[in-house]
Amino acid sequence: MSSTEQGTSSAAPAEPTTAPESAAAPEVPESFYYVHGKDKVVHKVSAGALQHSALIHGMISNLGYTEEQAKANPFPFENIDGDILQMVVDWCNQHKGKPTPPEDTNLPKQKEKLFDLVLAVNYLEIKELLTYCCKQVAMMVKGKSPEEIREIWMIPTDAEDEAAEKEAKKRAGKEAAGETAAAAGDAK
Amino acid sequence: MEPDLLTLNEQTAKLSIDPVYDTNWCDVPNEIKVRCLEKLKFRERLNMRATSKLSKCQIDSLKYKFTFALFTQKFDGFYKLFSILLGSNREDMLSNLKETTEWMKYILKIGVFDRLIFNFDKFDANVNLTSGVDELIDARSVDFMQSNPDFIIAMLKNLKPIDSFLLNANSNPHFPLDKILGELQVQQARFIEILNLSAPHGLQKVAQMWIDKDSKVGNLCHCSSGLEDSLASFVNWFNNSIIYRTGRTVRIRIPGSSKNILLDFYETNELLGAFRMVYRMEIVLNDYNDSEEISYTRLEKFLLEFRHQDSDAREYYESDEEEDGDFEYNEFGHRDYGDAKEKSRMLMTKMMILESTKKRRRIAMRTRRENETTSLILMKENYF
Repeated sequence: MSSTEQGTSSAAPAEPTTAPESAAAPEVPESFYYVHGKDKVVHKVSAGALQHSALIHGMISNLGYTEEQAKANPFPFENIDGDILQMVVDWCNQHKGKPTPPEDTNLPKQKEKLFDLVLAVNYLEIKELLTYCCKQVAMMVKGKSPEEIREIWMIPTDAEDEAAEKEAKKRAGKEAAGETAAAAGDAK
Repeated sequence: MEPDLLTLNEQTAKLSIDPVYDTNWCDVPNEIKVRCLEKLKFRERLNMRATSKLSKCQIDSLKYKFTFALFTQKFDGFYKLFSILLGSNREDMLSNLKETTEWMKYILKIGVFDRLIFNFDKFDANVNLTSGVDELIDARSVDFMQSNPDFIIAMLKNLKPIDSFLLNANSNPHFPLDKILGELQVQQARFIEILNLSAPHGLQKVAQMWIDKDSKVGNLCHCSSGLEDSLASFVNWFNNSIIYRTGRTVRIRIPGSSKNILLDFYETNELLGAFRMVYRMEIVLNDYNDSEEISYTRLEKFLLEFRHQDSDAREYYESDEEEDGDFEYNEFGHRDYGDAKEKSRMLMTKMMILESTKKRRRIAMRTRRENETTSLILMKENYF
């Protein structure tokens, strides 16, 4: 990580870029980054915890900046609810530098939160957490009949699907007709 | 550094302009749906498949790993698929031959099998289970317990390479062993087990097939035969290649090769003789230490699994007990259905005979068998 490289460079100025990260890592003070979700609440996350997220890790891996700069410019994730982001941050902190256990019982059981979490985790590319979440989603329909599954996961029936498709086509047709009329008006 | 950071934040903000996620299954990206669906057990997949056309397509595009799949007809005379995969409460799905065939095709299409067993002595040979299946069936081990030879050959042609192959020749002297040994899947199998072989020269045909196809060293064939002169016939066939011969063992060399084949006639009673044949690079003193374990455990396991599977059937039948009256169960837990079920039980009878000839070993294996029973129960729990 960039922050680690920075720390290393101050400890060994003669070879700032070639010092082995793993050897120097324990001596380097941990650096932190800041993220916020839809609610604008800023969460402080250590670089080690953020390594779980391939997206954030990828974004920051080639940049080096001070803690003050990072604090002043938190990463905005406007599409993630604040409580969901808090869950993700908590999970990353809990599993920082640890082998991930085969099961995670702390994941939410409610459908809405779980799907939000799945989507957030997919967006942030947190592989292990995504595996847990998918398992949890699958558990929601264990032993359920097709009707129950349809209800739990809000899967539309084929008839509802067809009706929605027709409606969408109709709307698209109307919009296209409106645009054509507007273009003709402009031309005149 | 500062401009980079600002650019980064702008990029992140751009990424974040997507609408806030909804919380329905329908709004989940397809790749995540696939990951979730892959974690569903088979029953749940079937239920999910029935929710909508789209779900059906998604489920059908996924493979499912089956530890064990037994396709057999029920003992009530109807052509029905009874498989522990589906469970006894799935009988309603299998109301006729056509429907059953469609289900079997479906399972064969989406399945990746550790062990696949067919047991259809009355199955209509005209029903081609593999028609409409555009992919080869993926199975590590395939057993044909009671099957029409044409069906066996058709299935073999539609299999990916297999490790292990079991065949019940059903004491039929006209059993087309040559045709079956001509199939690539059999030739490449590491372990061949042939029950109730009565076709003349059966053992030497397997040995000759190994020689002709230059099969891999370490291949094993386990064979039970009703022919008293099988050993003598084998000796005559390979008369010029014998390295040594004892009362129950013959070892032959393969011309132009350091490989050799050992035939061991290891148990007998009034009905069956059992042979093991092993294909080796070098002569070793204890050829069967490992292979014997494999063969015996396999046979034992089948019996245990069959009993286990039948206990499911028994539960199902017991629910109709009042209508059907009282029935007797034989020692394998099979319900006694009378003469019409005779063929279906013959296999078990024969295996019982084979088993009874191994009393000494059975005593020694008792502890192990108990352990196996436990592991089978665990395996069954894993199915669902």
